This record gives sequence, C-alpha cells and structure tokens, in this order.
Amino acid sequence: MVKRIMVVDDAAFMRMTLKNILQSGGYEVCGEAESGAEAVKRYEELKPDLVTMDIVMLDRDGIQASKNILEKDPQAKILIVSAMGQQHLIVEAIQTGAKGFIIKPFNPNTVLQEVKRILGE
Amino acid sequence: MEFSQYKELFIGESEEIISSLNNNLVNLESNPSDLSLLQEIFRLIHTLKGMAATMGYQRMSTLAHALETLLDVLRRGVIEADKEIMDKLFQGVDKFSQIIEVIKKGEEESSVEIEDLIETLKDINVGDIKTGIKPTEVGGGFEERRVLRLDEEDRKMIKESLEKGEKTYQVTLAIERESLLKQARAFTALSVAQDMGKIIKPHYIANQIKQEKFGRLVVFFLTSKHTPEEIRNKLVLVPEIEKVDVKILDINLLLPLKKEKETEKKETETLKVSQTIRVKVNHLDNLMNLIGELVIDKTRLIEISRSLEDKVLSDTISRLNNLISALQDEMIVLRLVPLAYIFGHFPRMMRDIAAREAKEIDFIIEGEDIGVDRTVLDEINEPLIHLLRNAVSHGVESPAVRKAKGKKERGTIRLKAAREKNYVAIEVSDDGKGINIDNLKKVAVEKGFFTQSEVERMKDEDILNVIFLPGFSTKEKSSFVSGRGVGMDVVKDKVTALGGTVHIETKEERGTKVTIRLPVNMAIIEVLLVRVGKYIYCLPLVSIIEIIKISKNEVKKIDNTEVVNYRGTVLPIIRLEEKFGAVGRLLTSTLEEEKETVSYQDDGLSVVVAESAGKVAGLVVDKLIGQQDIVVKNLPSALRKIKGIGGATILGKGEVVLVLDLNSLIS
Repeated sequence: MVKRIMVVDDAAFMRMTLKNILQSGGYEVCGEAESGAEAVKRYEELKPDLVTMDIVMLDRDGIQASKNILEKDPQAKILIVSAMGQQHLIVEAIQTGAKGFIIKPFNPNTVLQEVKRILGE
Repeated sequence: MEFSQYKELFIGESEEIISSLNNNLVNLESNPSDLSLLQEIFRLIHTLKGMAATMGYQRMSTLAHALETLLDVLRRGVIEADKEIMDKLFQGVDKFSQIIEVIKKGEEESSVEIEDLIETLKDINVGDIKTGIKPTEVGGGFEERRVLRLDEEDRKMIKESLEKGEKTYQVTLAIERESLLKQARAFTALSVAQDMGKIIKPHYIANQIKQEKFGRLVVFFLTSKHTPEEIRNKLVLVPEIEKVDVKILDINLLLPLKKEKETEKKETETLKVSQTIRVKVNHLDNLMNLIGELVIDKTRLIEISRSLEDKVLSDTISRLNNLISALQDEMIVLRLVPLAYIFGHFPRMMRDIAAREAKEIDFIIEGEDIGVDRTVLDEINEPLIHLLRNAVSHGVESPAVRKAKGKKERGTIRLKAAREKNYVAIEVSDDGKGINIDNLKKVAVEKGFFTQSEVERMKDEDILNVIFLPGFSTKEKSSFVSGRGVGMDVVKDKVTALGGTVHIETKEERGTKVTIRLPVNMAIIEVLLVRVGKYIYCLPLVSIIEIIKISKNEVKKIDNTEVVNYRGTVLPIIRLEEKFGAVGRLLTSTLEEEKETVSYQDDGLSVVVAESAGKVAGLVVDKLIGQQDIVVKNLPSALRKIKGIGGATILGKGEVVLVLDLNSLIS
C-alpha cells in the first residue's frame, strides 16, 4: 500500500518542491497545510502515515502543531523541515516527539531516505 | 606593551605548571576516573592557556585550548582516559615543554610543530574511528571508554531491567564530521534509541549534547529488550550518523561518582598555600654573599671588642651577633627549595623509562617537601636522574623474570628524602636483582682495578665502592637510558663536589639502595680549624670521624706511604704540611707573620681521621684550634685546580685561610 504523506509549509514553493520529491519516491501526498492550526485540523481528517512539518511558519507554530498532533496521536510520525540555524528549535521538536528532520535546501535522496527510515521501510 | 619583563616569570611559572601536569597525569594513568585529578589537570591547562594567550604565544594557547577541550570531555565523564588519550595528553605536555624551551632561547614558538597533535586531539574529542575504535563491530571497540557517574538509582534501574531479561548496552555514536546540525542529529538518534528501550539519565545526556562542546561523539546507556544488532541497525539509518557501537555493558564498570565537593575544598586550600612571591635567584645569591661578608665582619668585631674590654661595646656586639645569626638562619631558610621542585619531574620520567624498558614499576616518592639549598638542588638533579635510571634498567627485572623469581611483577622504586641534622639524606632504592658481588669482583679484576688477591681480601662494602671508580661499568652494552659511558663515578663526583657523600648497599635478589647525603646549606659550613706549620686550615666537619693522638714511632711505611694502625685497620697518613706548605704561604704571605713559632713539643702527633666515599685517611696537624661556622669563598680560577683545596674564608682577625677539600685529598 502506498504511504500517505501530508506536507505542512507556509510557502507554496516549498510545498511543491517537497511534493515532487515525495511523489518521485513513490509516496502519495494526501494533503497540504500552510499553518500549524490547519495542520492539526487536517491531520485528524486525513490520518496520514507521515507529516513533514515546517518548523518556522508565519505564526511560528511548527513545534506547537507537532505537540498538538502528538497529543492526539502519540504514534504520529512527524518529520521536521527546517532551514539552517534553527538547531535549538529542531532539538526542541525532536524532544517533543518528532522523528527526524531535513534541512532546506533539500537533497531529494536525503529527504526520501529519512522518510523511509521514519516509516520503518 | 612590553612583555619581555614578564617573560622570565612566565617561563618559570609555566615550567612549574608543566611539572605539575606531568605528575597529575602520571597519577591519572593509574586512577583514570579520579574526578579531582581531572579537575586539577583541567585547571592547570586552563591557567597555562590564559598565560600563553596573554604573552601572545598563539601556538601554545591553541594547543592548551585543544587539550582543555579534551579534559573537559574527560572530567564530564563522557569518556575515560584510556592509554591512547593518556599518550596524547603526555604528548601535549611535552609540546608545552618544547615551546617553553624554544621561548627560553629567544626563538619563535612557531618552530614547534603542533598541528598533527591538535588534529589527533580533535579526533579523540569526537571519538573518531581513526583512534582505533571499530564501532561497526558490535561488541568491539570503545573498549576502555565508558560513561561514568551513575548513581544508585541508575544501578537499580539497570538491575531491574536485567531481571526482566533485558540487557543494558553502552551505545556510542559518532556523527559525521561534516554534519552541520550535530546536536539535532544526536537528538534524533537518541529519540530512535528511546523508541527501543530506556536511556539511563536521559536529561544528563541531553545536557551533554546541548553543550556546544560535545563534539561529535555521543555515549549513553540503554536498557532494552532488543539485540545489539537491532539497535545498531536502527541507529545507523539516522542521517549523518557515521558509526555506531553497541555493546553489552559490564555492570562492574559502573563506577560511583566521586563527590565534587572534595575538589572544591582542595582548590581553596591550594589558594591559601600559594601566598608566595617570586624572587630572582641572583638576588638571593647576592643577599647570601652580603650576609657572608657580614658574618666575617661580625667575627672581626667580636675580636676587636674582646681586646677593648668595653662593656657597652661588647653588649651591643652580642646583640648584633644574635641579630646576624637570626638573619643568617632566615637566609638559609629563604634559600631552601623543597626537593619537590626536582622530584616533581621524576614520576613522568620514570614512567617513560619504564615504558621504554618494558618494566613495570611503582615509583614512590617520600619527603619531597624537605628543603635544600638552591645550589644543591640544581646540582643534585642529574645524579638523581642517573640513580633512578639505573634502578629501572639495571635494578628492577622484567615482569616475566620477576614472576619466575616469585616476586611481584611490578617492581618498586623508592625515592626518599629525610632530614638528618644539617644533612639531607636522599635514598634511591629498588627491589630488583641487586648487585652480584662475585661478578663485581670478576669485572674489577678484568678491568685491572685490582688484582685477584686484592679482591679476595676485600670486604663486600669495599668491593661495592669499585662502582664509583671512573670507567667502571658492569653493563657491557651501553643501553639507551643508563649506559652512555658515564656511570656512578659522575654521581660520586657531583655529590662530593657538593660536600656530600654517596653510600651503596645491595642484597642480591633483594635490591640496591644508594644513599646520598648532602649538606643543607652550602655557603656556610662548620669546620674544624687546625694549624699546620705556620698556617691555619679549615677542615669541613662533615668528613671528620674523630681526632686521635698517636706517637711518632707508631707511623710505619708501606710502599712509600706512611700508615698507622687505626682500630685494627691500616690508616694512610697524609702530612698536610708537605702537601700544602707552598700553597699556604702563597695565600697568607701578606698577612701578619707574628704567629708563635711552631713547636713540635713531644713526639705525639694529632691526627684528624677523615672519611670520604668509603675511604679513610689520617691528616697530621700540629694544633687543633677549634670549631667554627665559616663562609666559603670560591678561589680565583687560577687556584681552583689545586687538588685538595676547596675554597677560602676570612677569619675574625682578617686572615685568609684555606678550606680543604677532604674528598679529593683522601681519594
């Protein structure tokens, strides 16, 4: 069965880039969200196998969104997406329960490897 | 700003720190988890770093910084100092010494190469695979390194998980050097591990990682029901994780954490002790000379006051006399430097020699707080090094041989100093093979020091003294450390030049002990004043055994040498007048010639029996004058080569008299 992934990012360009990478890797991008609040709402609707979560969005709520999702579903698999220089935020997210992180700009192979690892494939 | 005025101070203090570092490192080697030692080493390196940076010695401070980083990892208990780390630390300290040597010569510190060492230090800091760790092999690698600081609660947790059939693993991760977000990677890996079991002290580990200094090595304990392979396979998948080592933890390795409080206490103690100031040695020497002059003038003043018989004057002078004596005592104390100053270098040296000779030794130092005169200290260093080297290479046997003999595999070498009245006795003893007297006799005959019949008549103690003769060495091949063609004769020469004595004792298979006795104070010595012919000589009291009175006809002649029977042994007689008549005149001819004409009253002879390096001789004198403290002055270089004369001094009436060097006179 094809694994379903939700992409959360406030920049449409980043969502598109990620979507293309994920699809090239044989994954289905089942939904997108452009804010933390939207991500939490859509997670419940979509129940994706994995979420890529931009850590710094307009409302800076990537971490809060991750927390909220994990509260509702402790098994949620969240992959943090970040730019350089946000190490403390990444650490915080991982301590919250995120499973891994990828750094912009993306290397398609790295992204896919990390997704695969977190999905336990 | 001109720093040159501080340079000397910098060098002196650096050398002390380096010496202290070496000692602490030697101790650390046998107590790798001693937190207070690690703290102290860290502190010393940190001090050195600050000093070097202030002086603008960039390389020195860079190296100190690299070592400090490693020390910080060590003291935080992430890894333990194994042999490899110890070697690197020692190498680092050696580099400091080299840099200091270079600076002393006024050269640029850049001539000392430190880059390679710094590179390897970086690798240790991050647990690089190049350092002999093979993290890819489950159960292999990271042998000596372990996470410390587990408390009772952690042990309990480990015990419980063991009871549940789980295992406790020591997990070591190396994150790729190029990784830009090493902390985040480390946390990712930790979260993966957490999914497979329980991390012991997770907050502690997290804090370790959050501190920027963590480098790229993460070590933690994990209790888990998974196999090592399963854990490793999961962790390896985390991006930018270069190597993973998972091994089953030996529960015995978990050492309890030592209390930090002790260290703090120690630090404040050392602060109190260091209420000292530094003084240039030549100032001390000048002061000593001035006090010497003062002592001489005082003696003259006393003579003058005696002849004037003025109550007020003699009272004043008596008070002055007391003050000068007190000053003199204080001066002696001021010049005393604890033996620790040189002893401090020995543990490191012994470690290196033992390693090179593949011997195992426990090196024990006692009495390093005993003070000796600075001059003595400088001169005694080399002889002691020689004796210590001998003890390692010729004394203590190899571990295998010792085992075969039923001895402990580790030999013991002891360096012990003790105060004996005005002397300091320094012993170097070992529990090695000792000296084979028969072998010694054989070599003594072969080398032509004695004939076979002489050797047969000699007592063991006398035969042992052969070792001190120039050109004698029972070791055929000169070994790297102890050979070098110089031997015990050099030791003896140095020590006797200082007015000291050397004594050797040995027991086959039990060991050898060499004892050096040295005067505490070099410049002011006690002498016996004697008159020979018209002239007065000073005989250092150190070497004098007793004074005997004999009748002239007791003197016999053997092979052109005059001898007397002295307590059943043959005592050679030296007639000082024949030996020094001319020299004495030369120096004293300017002085008052009013001395009473010498009367060879009866046919009795006063003989001063003196000993030096095991040899005894009798010195014939005409009159014994008395005992006195004198200040020895060096002779001008033209006169210095005269055998048997050690210096001169000025007596109360202003006469210049010669101080005899009994050592060279007797031997």
